[in-house]
Amino acid sequence: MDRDPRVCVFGEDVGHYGGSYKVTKGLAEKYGDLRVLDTPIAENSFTGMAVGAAMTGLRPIVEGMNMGFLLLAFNQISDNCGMLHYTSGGQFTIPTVIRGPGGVGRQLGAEHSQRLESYFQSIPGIQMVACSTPYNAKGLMKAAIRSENPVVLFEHVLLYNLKERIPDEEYVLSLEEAEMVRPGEHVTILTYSRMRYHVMQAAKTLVNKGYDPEVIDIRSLKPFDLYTIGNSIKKTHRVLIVEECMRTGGIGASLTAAINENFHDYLDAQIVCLSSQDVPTPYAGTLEEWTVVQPPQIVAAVEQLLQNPFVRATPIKGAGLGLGVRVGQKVISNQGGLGWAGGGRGKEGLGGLGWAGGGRVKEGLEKPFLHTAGLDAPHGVHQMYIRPSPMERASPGAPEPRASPAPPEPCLVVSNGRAPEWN
Amino acid sequence: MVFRRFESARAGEAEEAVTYSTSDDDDEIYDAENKAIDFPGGRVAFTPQIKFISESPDKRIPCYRVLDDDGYPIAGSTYEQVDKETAVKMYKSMVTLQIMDTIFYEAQRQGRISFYLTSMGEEAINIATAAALSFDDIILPQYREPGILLWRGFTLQEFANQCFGTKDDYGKGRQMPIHYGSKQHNFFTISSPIATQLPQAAGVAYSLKMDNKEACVVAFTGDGGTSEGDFHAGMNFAAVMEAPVLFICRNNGWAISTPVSEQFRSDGVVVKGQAYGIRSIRVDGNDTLAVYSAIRAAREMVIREQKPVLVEALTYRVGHHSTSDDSTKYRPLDEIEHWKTARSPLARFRKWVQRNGWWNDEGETELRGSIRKQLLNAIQVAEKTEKPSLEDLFTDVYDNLPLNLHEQEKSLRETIKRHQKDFPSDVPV
Repeated sequence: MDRDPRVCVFGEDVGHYGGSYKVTKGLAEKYGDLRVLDTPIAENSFTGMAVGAAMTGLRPIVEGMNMGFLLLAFNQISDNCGMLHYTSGGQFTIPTVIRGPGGVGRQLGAEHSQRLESYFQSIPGIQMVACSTPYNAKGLMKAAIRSENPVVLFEHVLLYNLKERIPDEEYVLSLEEAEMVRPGEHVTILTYSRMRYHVMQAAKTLVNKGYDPEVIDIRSLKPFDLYTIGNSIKKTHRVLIVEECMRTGGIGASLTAAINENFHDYLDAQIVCLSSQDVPTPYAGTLEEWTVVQPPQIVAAVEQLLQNPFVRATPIKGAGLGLGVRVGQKVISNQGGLGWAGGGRGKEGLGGLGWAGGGRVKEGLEKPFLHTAGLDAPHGVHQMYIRPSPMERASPGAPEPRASPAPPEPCLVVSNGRAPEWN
Repeated sequence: MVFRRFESARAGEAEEAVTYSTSDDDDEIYDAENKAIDFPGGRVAFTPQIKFISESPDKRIPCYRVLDDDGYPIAGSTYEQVDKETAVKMYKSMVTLQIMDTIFYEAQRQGRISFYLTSMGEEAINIATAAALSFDDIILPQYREPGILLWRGFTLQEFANQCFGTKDDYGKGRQMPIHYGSKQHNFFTISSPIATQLPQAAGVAYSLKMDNKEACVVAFTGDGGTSEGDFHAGMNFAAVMEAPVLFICRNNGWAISTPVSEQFRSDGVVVKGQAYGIRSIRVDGNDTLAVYSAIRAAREMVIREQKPVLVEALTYRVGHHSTSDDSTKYRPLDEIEHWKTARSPLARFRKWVQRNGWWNDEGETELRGSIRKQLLNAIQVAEKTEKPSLEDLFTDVYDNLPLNLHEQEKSLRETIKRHQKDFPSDVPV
């Protein structure tokens, strides 16, 4: 507001009261109560007012006291904010920022626990970002104010008390970029807003268990930063989306579709999306807790994802059958051998040839062992390590089983990045 | 009145206690000094008699009128003098508007445009209002106010461009016909949903306040629009914020097929002003001079006092709601005829202008012929003009094209290339 005299704030109780979450505290004293305007209770109206002011050259910031109330402003946001730049042939721009606290809080009841990102994501012409830390909140807010497009900035009711050291100098973040929270190798966890903290908590547990999740805070809800997300998927091949939206029509649903469309070939497993159920948020604390995704669920989902039998082996150069598995070669999984061999998708020779078809994997193998070369091997190259079992009977045409456990033939090791539990 | 500009929007002190009842003598009215009570909102006198405010006044609020049906000034009327140049320009514009409406309506019926909406019967409101305002006043129209654009210099060709959605349309072919918008004429792009422009008007006024401009905002709505929530909020906001907005309600009796008796139960729209603390006036919308004078006065008040004013212009919607409507289905033909001929605002004003010696029949025929020719020419030109190119499908959604729109455009272009013959030839790629 210092830098640009055109910036102003509209909202209920944003003036001397400082806002219901004190986001605008002190601003009215500093900039006057015309620039920090207390409006009557009419969300559609003060949002419309912001549109009108923006069309005339101001840069208003609209605060919804709670995001859920902005549903009353849906018409102005959708039909006017989103559309007027287009329908006027570019004559009028609407550089507004619409922000407010949303998400599920602590027993605030259904109407105060709305996740509006799912409702707004279709509106053409607006951008949506979700902040999650003090650092990105400031950077995204500045970027949103300076953007010529209408931006909806989603804050979360429970994140206002976070404290963090942030740079003194001015910084502006990009509205279309995702944030790499924790680089990793095994699975890409995409999340935003408050769920980032649940994911990081789960990540701690996962790391202790030996997993290496990559956590990305997608931040930009519309449009998605498919570049960062794509690079991550190309690395890990597994995706878990953790969101607070409801399952139907949420951000996770759109993200799943976008990833499937763009990165299907890089996926080794179905995308798993953890979201809230399709219910209004209940008031009772216990019920509310279970409608939001909790860290134990995230841990369980990651574990399950990384055990997923749908593994697609990528061919190694120079390998015989294109798979590197020679017919008759034994394949053992450290998953107990069950459901794996047969579980191949029959794609690219997996599950058809030499493997399930070869019957080399017996169910209930004793002491199955799989060297998890994943940590050493270049990533993306699946190497299957085969160790012959002393109980093996060679099938016709198969090479004689080796007598001793020779050093592993570099073949195909299917790695899941998990240290073997047994030897 | 002191010229006030506010730095603050804090609502002024509440009005001093309004005396509860002024006309009845047999009520026991207590001395306000001794028996007034303090409540949030101010002091208020009280009365021990139970008394309800009537839901409707004894008499309807009279409407301000200057010319009678024959175009003679009513004795004792006060009005703003209009010189010859302005009067003739006003009349010519009204004629132009009427002919433009007729011809574009016919064009729609011939299938040359997809939709049209006439302002027939409301030419006086359109033109007289435009004439009474300054060019700097920002207009937020509903959709039956193209006369204002006309007055401000929008050419017939520009109107045609928008209706035909050609590449010369300022809206780049993105809006329906009659949804004009022109930043340079201070005319905000029309948006179809009703009354959404009213809260926006408060925002524009807010912006003017910050800029300290000698201009006001003029927001239009119809009788139907006053039922929308945005009307209430827009009026309330403007009043609280002391925003320089001039609200003009064109009460033309019909909201598509809903007559005003089914729209509200109040005495029209003018009485609603007081409910918000807004000064209001009712004017005969078919009387050009009355509308001119009323708007002049209202605008003066709005700018000088920085407060909103409501003007209710009573009129009649002679045409159908739009080309998608056949109003003979819900109202009698003779009613329409009556308002079309006997109560026509053009005829009435023409009589006054001609009586002043400023106009004659030859001028009339010449004007009508000329406008008609210009319009037909404009339509022909518009029909021949190219439509906006394909890239305009994707531009202006955001300031710059984001990745997904780039992809979608690419995908569309590839599809077109593969199926060239299925793609219309008059849209440039």
